[in-house]
Amino acid sequence: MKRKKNLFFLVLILTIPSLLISITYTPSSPLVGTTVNFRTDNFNYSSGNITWHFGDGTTGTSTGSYGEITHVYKDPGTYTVTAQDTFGYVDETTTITINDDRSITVSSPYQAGKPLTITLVNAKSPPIKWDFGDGAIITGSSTITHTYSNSGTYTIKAYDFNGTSKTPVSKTIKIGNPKTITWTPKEPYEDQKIYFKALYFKGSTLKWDFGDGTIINAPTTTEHTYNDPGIYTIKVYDYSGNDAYPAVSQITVKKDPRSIVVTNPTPGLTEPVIFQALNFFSDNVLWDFGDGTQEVGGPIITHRFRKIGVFTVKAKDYGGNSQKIFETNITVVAQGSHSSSLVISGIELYFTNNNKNYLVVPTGTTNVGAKARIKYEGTGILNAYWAIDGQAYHLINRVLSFGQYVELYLDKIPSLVTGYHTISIVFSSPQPAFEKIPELGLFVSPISKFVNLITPYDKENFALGENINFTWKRYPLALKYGFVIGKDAQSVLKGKEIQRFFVNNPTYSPKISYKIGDKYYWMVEAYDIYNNVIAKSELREFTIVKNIFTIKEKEKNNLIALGDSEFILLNFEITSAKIKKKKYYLIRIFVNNFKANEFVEKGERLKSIETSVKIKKGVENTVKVKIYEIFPDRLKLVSYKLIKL
Amino acid sequence: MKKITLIIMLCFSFSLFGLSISHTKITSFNIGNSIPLSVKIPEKVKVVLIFYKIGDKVDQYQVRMMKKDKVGNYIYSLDSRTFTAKKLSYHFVYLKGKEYFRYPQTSDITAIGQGQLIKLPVVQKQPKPFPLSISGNFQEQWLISTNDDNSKGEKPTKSGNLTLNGNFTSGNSQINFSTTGNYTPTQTKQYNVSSVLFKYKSGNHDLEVGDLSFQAPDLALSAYGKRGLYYNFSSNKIGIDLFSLSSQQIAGLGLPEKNSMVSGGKFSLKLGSFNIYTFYLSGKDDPTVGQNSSYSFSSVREGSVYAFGFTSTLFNYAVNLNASYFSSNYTKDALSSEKKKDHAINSSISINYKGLSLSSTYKEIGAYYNTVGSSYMSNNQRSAGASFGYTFSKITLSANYSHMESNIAKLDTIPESKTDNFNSSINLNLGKISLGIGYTANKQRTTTNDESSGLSSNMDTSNFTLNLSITPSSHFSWSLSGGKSLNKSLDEKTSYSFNSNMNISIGNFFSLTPSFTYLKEDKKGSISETITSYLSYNLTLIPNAFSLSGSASYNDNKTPGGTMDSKSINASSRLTLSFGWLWNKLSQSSAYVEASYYKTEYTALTNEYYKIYGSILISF
Repeated sequence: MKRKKNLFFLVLILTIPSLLISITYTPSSPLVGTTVNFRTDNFNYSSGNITWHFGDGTTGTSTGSYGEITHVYKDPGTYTVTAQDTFGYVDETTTITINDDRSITVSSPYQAGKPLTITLVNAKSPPIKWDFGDGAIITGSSTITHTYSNSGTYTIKAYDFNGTSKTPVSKTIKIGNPKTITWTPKEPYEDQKIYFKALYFKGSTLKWDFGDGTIINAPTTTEHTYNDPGIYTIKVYDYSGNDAYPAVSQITVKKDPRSIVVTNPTPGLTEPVIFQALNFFSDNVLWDFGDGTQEVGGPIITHRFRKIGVFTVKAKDYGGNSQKIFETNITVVAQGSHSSSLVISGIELYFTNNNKNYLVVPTGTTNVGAKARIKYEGTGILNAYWAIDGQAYHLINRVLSFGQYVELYLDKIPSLVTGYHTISIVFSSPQPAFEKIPELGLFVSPISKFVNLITPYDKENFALGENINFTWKRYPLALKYGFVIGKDAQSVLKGKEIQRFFVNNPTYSPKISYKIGDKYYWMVEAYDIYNNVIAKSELREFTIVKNIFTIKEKEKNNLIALGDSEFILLNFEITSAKIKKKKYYLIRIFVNNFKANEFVEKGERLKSIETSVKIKKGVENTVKVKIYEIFPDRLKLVSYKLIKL
Repeated sequence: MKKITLIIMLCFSFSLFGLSISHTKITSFNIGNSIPLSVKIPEKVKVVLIFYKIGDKVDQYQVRMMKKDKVGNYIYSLDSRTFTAKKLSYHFVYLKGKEYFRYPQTSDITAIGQGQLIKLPVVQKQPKPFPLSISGNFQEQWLISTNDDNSKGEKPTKSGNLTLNGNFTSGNSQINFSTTGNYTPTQTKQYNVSSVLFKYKSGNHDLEVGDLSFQAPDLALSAYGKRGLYYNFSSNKIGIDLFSLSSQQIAGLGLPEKNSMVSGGKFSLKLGSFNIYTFYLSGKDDPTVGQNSSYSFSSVREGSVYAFGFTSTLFNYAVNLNASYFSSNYTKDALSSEKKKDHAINSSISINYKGLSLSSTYKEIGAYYNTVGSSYMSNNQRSAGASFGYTFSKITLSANYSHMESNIAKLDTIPESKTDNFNSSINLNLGKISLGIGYTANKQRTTTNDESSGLSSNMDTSNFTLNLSITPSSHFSWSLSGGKSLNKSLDEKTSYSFNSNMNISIGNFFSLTPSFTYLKEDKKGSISETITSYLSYNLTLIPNAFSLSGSASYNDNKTPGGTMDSKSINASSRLTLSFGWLWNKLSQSSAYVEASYYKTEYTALTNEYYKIYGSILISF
């Protein structure tokens, strides 16, 4: 036990010297830039100088009794400090931590384009080398001004000690877009509504100070009107004014340029007067013409005064919402310098087809006419035009004199597309002394304007005395038909030198004296109840023909006589090069218009006809032999023979 | 396959008046084969005939002599290839002594053919038309797209009509009626019976109810299109007209209103070539109830007119005489008790002989003469005129002269005017080309002028026109007219005008109708010009399916100094799809898309926009 105690003391004796040899420094918590005092207590200073290594790459030599030496660290950090004697026998070491009390402050606002004041607080040894992070590096004092051109995130680095410090003091800042105030129009006028916009503000409600005493809280867009011209400073504060740094702009408000221009301040009655709201700020102007009429219109408007007198015409901008009223006086006289003495005081419009204001016509109709009966007073020239669906169609230029009414006709309205159309007159001068111009309604129906014919077919041949039955399809709008027939195509088309028969039903068998060899043309007209032709058929022709086949009476034999009748056997010889051998023919024999016989025969066998006929004794009997070529849809007469018995 | 001939022969003997006749009756035969007929008559007969008919549509029997064969049978063979019907009817007649006997005695033997006949075309007999017909149109149009702020939100528009026609004939009586009802969104009365007329005719009696259309003395009544009741009786000697109608056109199903109704009648008597008449009308007129008219004045007018006169045609219609005297008792304000009486005279004579026509007229209307039977009346005037016309070969000459005087009552507040008018023309008609030249001169002198009225004192105008019409075919026509007018009083204005109208068509597939109007007015160097052109076209792309149609108009109005210049261009094109290709019965129904472009320039203001519409149109 005693032996152990002795060993402890031996170790202690051997250790103490080494504990007693140490490096001390003051202050105990040194800062960057402050002077640190170092000393050693256990060196044998007689042995020579002490070399100091401060751990930041610098060294020093001390000669004092305790080897005192001072050193200033330029960068924060923990350094190992070593003191060595001349011989190198003693090598003392300690660590020292250097703190940093420096920081960078930046003044707001952090907006691009706005200068920032940047300070290196507790700068140790200016000048400072500044690296702003946007490429700009300068050396200056500890407080410096810098402006970022663009928004973004930047790290500011300050190198103290004239830029020699290795570890910079840093600060990262976020530069935003600059708070801006814009307005439209750029060069506003007094009483003009100005639309403001605040850009890059963060709050939703801003405090607007327009510089004319008007301060409001409003969103980022607002409007304001300056009542007087001048230069005003606008300040806009973010966060309803809680932000102390306003965006500031100056606005120049110019003098009101608006006025009313009148082409003719002394117009005649109903003469058009053109008002122009010159330099008005909006396209909607409330016009009060002073004659009891108001109208919201564009900046150019035409008005016609229908009363004689002096009228104050007022115009208010913004559809009447502007407080400012512009006025001008108009003196309406009976006859102005531009007006004529003609006054249109009444109008009636009709279709000439039915004397009504509405008409339904088939498509393709070209015979629609319109009539305007115009009542007027005075003498002058009427300038107007017929309008179809509002489109100008035909000009009217008439000298009206002496009389008191005139009838104007639009002879032929062009063929219009199907559907509803309007027809009216638009007066250019003078304007009528009434407000509403009546209009005509024309409905063009898709119904065809053609009457469809059925029989006979075009270019058919008929025998003399044959009953020709003309048929056609019923026309939807027709109340009666005109059957037109004549020997000249143009005459029939024009309705001249023809025979016209009126029938109610779409079929007719006219009693007409035809002539052999003559060509006849026929067509059908459809009439409405007012006797207007509303549709027509095509033109067809037929011919009263001679025999195509030769029918020759060959033999006649009496068969039997019964009462007052007699049966006779007739034989006819058929000769023709035009007989089609493969075709079938229908042969009909009529006696006194009664059908006596009917049979079919193939062309190759059609060489003779044998038939009996029952005739009346003592009178002249008519026997007709008709030969038809058979077509799938019709019979075509090719030959006939008429004999008297 | 071989045809199996089925001939059912029924053999039996028949005894008639002691004769025993044997005949094998035929009840069936094959069409295309011969039909042998045989009859055996044991006793001696002179002649045996066969009577036969094919079908029921012939009116007579065919008769043929039968031949006796070797065994004593009388035979005849019919060729069924020639038959037009399957039914064969026949009997025999023979002569014994001087008497004819029939077998069978009363009826025919009937046989029916088997197989196909030669097919004859079936003649469609038209059914008797139903006396009523109905047709209608309906259109709905809606806006698809536009850049016109005023049109945005535009509601679809509908329009349509329904027409009912009736036609009844019974003996001497006939009833016709026609009515059209329509719906038009832009009219004041959207639902309207635009026309209705009922006609009853029986012998000499005519009755019309609805929108009438009859001729009445011109200075007393204009009856066209006005609604009411009209009765006419006419015989060779006398004529009676009675009427009661609205003085204005009425909308809807409206009846004449109390303040707008005139009634009266006419009695005419024929005395040789002269037809004399007397006429009376009385009633009220309120201009404001007219449906297609506008006035700057409104007061109920009241009055009556009586008239008498004659018409005569002499020398086979070569000379026509006409003279009428009218007397009115009228006030322009029915509330006023003051009515004024005045008279009017209207007379004319015309001579037509071959190509020559001469006429002369004289008309005098008193200052206070007026009628409630016509909306407008030019009174307080006197006029006389003469006209000449002559047509020879292809040339027509005409000349007219008239002299008119206003304010013949010499009222203080109204100017007195004398106007002379002369016009003449030469027209050459070469069939496909016609050419016309016209000249008109008008001279007006106002001898009294109340300056406060602002009327011009004098006016002299002359007008020269040239017309050319070319119609080489039904597919092309072109009419041109141009003229120069001189107005020596109203600021010495000279006007030049030109009109062109053309129609071009190629079958039913394409049609083009361009028209052009130009007017230039030169007022002492102050020139205004107006151009109006219009074009419509129709092109069938696929018949009964697609078609393209449209119209365009251009209006350019240049004023002196350009202060009131205006210009407008409207154009629209429509692509139509007809439903006819889908179903024939829908051939009159279609749908279309229409694009329209509008541009107007008025002074410094320009308005330009487009519209695209879709529409459906159903017609029947």
